[in-house]
Amino acid sequence: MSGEVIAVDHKSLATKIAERVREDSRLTGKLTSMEVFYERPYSLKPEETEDVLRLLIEAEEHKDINILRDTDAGKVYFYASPYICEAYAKNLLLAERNNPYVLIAETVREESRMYPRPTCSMLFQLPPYELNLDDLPFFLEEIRKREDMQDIKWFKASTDVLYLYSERYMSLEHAKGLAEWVEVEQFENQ
Amino acid sequence: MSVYGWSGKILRVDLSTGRIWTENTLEKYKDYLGATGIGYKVMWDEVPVGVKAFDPENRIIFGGGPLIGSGSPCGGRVAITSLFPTSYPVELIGSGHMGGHWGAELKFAGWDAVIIQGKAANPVWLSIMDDKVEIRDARQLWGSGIYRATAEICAEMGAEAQVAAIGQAGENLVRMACVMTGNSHSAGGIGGVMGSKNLKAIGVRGTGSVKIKADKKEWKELVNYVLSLAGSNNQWVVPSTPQPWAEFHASNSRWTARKGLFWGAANPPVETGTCDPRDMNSIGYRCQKAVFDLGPIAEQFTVRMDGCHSCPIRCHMQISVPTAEKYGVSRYAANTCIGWWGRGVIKTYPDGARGMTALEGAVVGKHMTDDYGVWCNYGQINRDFQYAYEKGILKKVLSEKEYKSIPFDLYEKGSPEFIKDFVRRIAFREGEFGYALGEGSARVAERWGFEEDYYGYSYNIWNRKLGYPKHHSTENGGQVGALINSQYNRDAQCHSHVNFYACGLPLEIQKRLAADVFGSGDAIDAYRNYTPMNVYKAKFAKWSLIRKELHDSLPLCNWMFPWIVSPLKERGYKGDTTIEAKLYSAVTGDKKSEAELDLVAERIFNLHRALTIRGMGTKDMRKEHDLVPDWAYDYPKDAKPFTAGHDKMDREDMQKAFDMFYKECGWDVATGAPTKETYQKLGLGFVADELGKLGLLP
Repeated sequence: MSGEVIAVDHKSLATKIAERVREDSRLTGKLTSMEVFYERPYSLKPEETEDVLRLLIEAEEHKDINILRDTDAGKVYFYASPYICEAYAKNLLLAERNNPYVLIAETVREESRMYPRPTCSMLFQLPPYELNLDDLPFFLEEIRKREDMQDIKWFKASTDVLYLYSERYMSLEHAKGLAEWVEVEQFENQ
Repeated sequence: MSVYGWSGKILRVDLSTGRIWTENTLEKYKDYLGATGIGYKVMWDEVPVGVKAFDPENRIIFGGGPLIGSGSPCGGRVAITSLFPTSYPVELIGSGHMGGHWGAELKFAGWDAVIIQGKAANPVWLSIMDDKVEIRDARQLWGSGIYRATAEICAEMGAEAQVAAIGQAGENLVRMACVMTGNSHSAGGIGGVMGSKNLKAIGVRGTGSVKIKADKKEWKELVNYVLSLAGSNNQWVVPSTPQPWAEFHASNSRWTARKGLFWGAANPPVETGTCDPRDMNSIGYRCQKAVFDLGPIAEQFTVRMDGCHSCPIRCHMQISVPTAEKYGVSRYAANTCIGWWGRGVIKTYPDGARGMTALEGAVVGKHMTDDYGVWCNYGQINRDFQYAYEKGILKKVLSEKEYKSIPFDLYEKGSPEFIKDFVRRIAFREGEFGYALGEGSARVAERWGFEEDYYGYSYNIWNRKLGYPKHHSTENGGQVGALINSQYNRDAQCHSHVNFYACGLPLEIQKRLAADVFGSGDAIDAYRNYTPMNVYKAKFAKWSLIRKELHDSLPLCNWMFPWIVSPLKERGYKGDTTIEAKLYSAVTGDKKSEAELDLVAERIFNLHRALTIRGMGTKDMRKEHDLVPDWAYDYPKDAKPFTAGHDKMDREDMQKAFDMFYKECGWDVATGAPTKETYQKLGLGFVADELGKLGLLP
């Protein structure tokens, strides 16, 4: 994309934004920040934002474009379906907030509740989390201290791999049994 | 009259007399579809009680069914049915199953099945070049491995020929022998039957095709529809890592493709990518099976993924491991899943189960077992050996000279060199060690006096009488897996339940989809958190079994089908359990609904049951055959059934499970034997008549 400014009406700008979001979602699997569009070549003005967003939301041809708002940080993000699904986008947003404690706790709770299963710590080095596993002991120490994260527990499987679970949704015995299945026993049951 | 799907002909060969003749498939076997269905019917009609696996009167039936060679997705498998040599004390009905391209080639040659009987005076191989069938002298091949036999036959028949062959193990009547095609697709357990008939191999070259009733457009649309619902191997419908398109993921999924994962030894390396399920051109990249089976280290040695005829899934891997050559084997190896069992001869590798030495062990093991043609009884042969070694039994049962001749130091060091020695001894029945381990688990346990701990959880034996191990038993569905594992005379080769149970979706979705098929979400429990038995689990177990027989007879790969689930969010992840009926109807023109086809499959399943009853000479299947091992109730020691974290079952509840399952099947609850009415309902009145005369009806 050159530094040339796209001088267009709001409808055309909405289309250009949609095209960029689709491209980002397809190629990078990441959210596109609204801030990108305040820069060249889009040069969206803050006062135009709501109007352009409305056009994006209402246009039938852009119904694949989804908007995520981080109200705490006052940020807006976009992603395009089906390249990025809602669940993944939610985790991308959690990662964007740069709060690894919440990211870990929310992910562990969701997995314990939904599948149900314990969460392998190795997961957090992968996209969309992309945490440095060397920092995990520090994160866990913080989680251990947090009043609102007392349900998050962890243990090591027989392979020495760390697993986390939320005791709100599953017991230690269940979590251990499932971790052992994944780490060891599934390979004996092909 | 045109015949669609089937070729319409079955090849019959009597090796005792040299007679070769033809039977009409549809006149005699249409009600049994093909493959195992035909196999069971032949065994019922032609092999009387008292015949043993290695007797000339035994039959061995090779075949696919109406879908093989048609291009039906995942429709390339072959069943080989016979009396199973390892079953004990009576050799009962069983089938080995192999993939590859042999079955499709047989159909292209114009044959639905090959039925072999008798025993040749000298070693022979069977040459099938379309209609031209010859019994050929195999004395020059006898004593050679499968690789050489395959190469020699292909040299004669042409590079396009497909060969099903036995190695030295089958020749030497090792019960633990297999048949192999394409040098890496094996059918377990029945290699010795071929050997007993002095039949080294069957080479096939076909230049014909399979007629499909549906018009081209209809057929293409159907195939595309089926592909649109495909997951990865075992119908995992979520990827193993979080991916932008995927709402769900599971680290143990066989959908291993992701950005940054490669077929690393391809030139240039091929990235699997993220494989959005709507992109049907990337289905073959979803399953990078080498990293799943052999660990992350295998990525750099993966040349490509491979598979059976007409299969988009490609679960069969081709690897190149240069350092394996130091053990005197080729670096190039192909196989999948338990096909890599040779590495498991070694219990502990110096750098771990997924390290480099284990990978080399996989290559060494593959070449030894696939060339000699030794079978593993779903890995049990390794556990049998390890038990006997660890418990000091080998020191007692082997002579001092023989014991000292076995390089246990290599075993202790975790050297793949030991695998070569181990497999050779079994293939050639060398000494007491090779002979006994090659006899199969039930026989070796009795012969060497294995004690009660052998039947504990650690050694996997499911049916101690018949000597087969668990295979997706309580660990895959609690009571459902247990019921399934109780029904066969070998390890249960049933994946119908696994393909749903282990699909990777959240429990809530699985329960919703289970309700569609079985009437209630209670048919399925969370992994390792089982609930007491209910009728929906009984329905699930019965459905899994009859679908397995359906898949083996059509054929469709039971390592993929049936599809209760799909990877498509827009369908609520719903699969389509009518795919089998749709494909069958489109290919053959014989329009059958899902229920109608299930009824055919139920006939086949009940014929297997009747063969087992007649073979065992008892109708009391409940007490004599349908066993659940004590460890299923006793392990883990301190756990209580129906609490989370384990697979422990409850004895009383399991009896209730059998009651419900038998009722669902229309079997007598007291004995587990099909009733006369059930046989009649299924078109097996002639079976009921014979069993009635033998006093084997409930």
